[in-house]
Amino acid sequence: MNLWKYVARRLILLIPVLLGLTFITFTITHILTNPVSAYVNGKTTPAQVAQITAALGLNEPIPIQYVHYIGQLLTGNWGVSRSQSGLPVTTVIGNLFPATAELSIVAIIIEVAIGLPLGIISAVHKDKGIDHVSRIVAISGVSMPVFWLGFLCQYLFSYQFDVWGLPYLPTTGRVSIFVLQAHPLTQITGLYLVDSLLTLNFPVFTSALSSIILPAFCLAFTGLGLITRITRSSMLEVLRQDYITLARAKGLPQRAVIYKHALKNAIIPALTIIGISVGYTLAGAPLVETVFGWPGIGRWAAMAITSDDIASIMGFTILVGIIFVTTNMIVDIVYAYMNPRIRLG
Amino acid sequence: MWARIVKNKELQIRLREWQYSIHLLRQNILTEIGIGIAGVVIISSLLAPWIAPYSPDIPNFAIKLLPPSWTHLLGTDQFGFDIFSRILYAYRLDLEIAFSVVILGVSFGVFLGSFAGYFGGKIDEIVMRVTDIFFAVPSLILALAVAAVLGRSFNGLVTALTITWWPSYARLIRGEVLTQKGKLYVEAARAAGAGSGRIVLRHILPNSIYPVLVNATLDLGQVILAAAALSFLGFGVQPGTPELGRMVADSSPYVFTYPWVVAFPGLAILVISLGFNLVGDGLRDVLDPRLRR
Repeated sequence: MNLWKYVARRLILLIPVLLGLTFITFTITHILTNPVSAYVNGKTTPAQVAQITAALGLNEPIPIQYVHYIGQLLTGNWGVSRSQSGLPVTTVIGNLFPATAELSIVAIIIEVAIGLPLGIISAVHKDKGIDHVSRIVAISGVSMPVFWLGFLCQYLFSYQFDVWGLPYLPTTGRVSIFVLQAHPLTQITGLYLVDSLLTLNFPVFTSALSSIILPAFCLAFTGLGLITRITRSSMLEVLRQDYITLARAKGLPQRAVIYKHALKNAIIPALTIIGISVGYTLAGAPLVETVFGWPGIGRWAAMAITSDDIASIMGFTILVGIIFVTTNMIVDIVYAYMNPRIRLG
Repeated sequence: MWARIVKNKELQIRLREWQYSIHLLRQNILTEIGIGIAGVVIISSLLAPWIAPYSPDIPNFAIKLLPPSWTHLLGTDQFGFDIFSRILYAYRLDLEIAFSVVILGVSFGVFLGSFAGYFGGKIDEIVMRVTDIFFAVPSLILALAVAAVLGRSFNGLVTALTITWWPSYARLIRGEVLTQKGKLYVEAARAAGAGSGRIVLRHILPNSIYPVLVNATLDLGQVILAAAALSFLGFGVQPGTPELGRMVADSSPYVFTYPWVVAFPGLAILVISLGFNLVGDGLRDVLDPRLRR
């Protein structure tokens, strides 16, 4: 099977999974709860309720309703978000998603930039001090309540640093409002770091960078440990191979053995973990964004909970599902490209 | 030692294996720490009504926001609750959630997964496609979506977490059953006239349950984290109930001026989750023969 056939097959496999996901959200919104409730308040008369029910096609049999539902999703009608004063869910996502995307991208960069080298070093120095450190980082990563880590970081790096007279980091928001007022930012991509660099708006860039450090670090914390451990174990696996022994026997220096021979093969399994860490990053978004007042889709979903805004929660769930499934597909394809043995499977 | 006392041959072998496993478990200092943490937390939460120095339900505003001292080990919160006592009671609730979810999830997942793996065909196909759907969203987000409709109650939280956790066990046990069912001892059992139920329960499951045990232990920590996260976001228990995530959320406005009100409940989450993860990690090293060497 060639690569393109593999890609095509993976794309087709996406369809049932995404349909299944919409089936779950449909069950939640149409069977377990009444979708009309989003449009009803104390003043709505029973006649109006009946009218809305008919207008939304909710008198139809369940299978027909499901087909309607899919049609609505495909045409971009995801309902209205009550917690965002009745704006359409898709509009809200369009407004808030860049903030979450920026935060997640920076978090994943932190994970890879720290996790990969730490994993390699702990494999090379197995059972030494650095290896124990990486194990502790990894285990505390998966045991850490990230929202609590957020509060601790705020306390130390924002509050205490200020008290001690050190340069401190902001606790909330994407950028300082004062800086933004003094140096208005032209929005191109919606990612403040990228936009401010493109327009050479350095005050905004500095402010945005200092605002993103703490939330991105907290969001990265879980994935960081995972990447470290996977890199470590795949590196250990490779270092045991015969060709590494041969490279050593030839008298190659340790550095060449590790970086020229071992790393190339060890890095492939570490790649797959990026797919999983995207999942952790998205799952952490509602928590971290709530703690840091980050105006993204995670905080929006968290606020939707307290106002029983089901349409927003479902919109968030479907969006996260689409991103998660697509990233994993891309990771699989890259993996297959780098490791041709996979494609036959 | 016990292996010598017990007469039954099969039991003797099992016991010797267990002794060896326990011996291996105790080789690892981190695992021992994990066992210690989990043990202390579980026992002290069970004994909470007797060892907690103050009531978890009666606020006393006269003593609110006191720093840690000998009378209030971890200080008091904004309602004048003794944080140490509240944490002991909160552990009861969080452990109850964790054990309920993992036991329910394992039972359901192992039942469906072993069924699918053993019989294969259509049943297998259906069960696996259903689990695929559950893996399309990170479990915390799915739990959030399900909890959103089940209401903000304790039962709603447990149900939402169980619904999101069973598929991983179903997959795991299915894979194990698939590798086990082709083995000679299964064929021998079948030749000896054993029925499908007996083969699965008596022969295949005892040989394929270990990975599930490892994951269940690790998941105790993960479920506590998820439950605390969902409570932090406003699901689960009513405001004011002693629950660790809720305590962090309720006290968060005081974090800068009275850091202990947020620090200790969160630390309590980290400690118990860490305990279970260390034990699970150690178990995996012992039960995976490849890592034994």
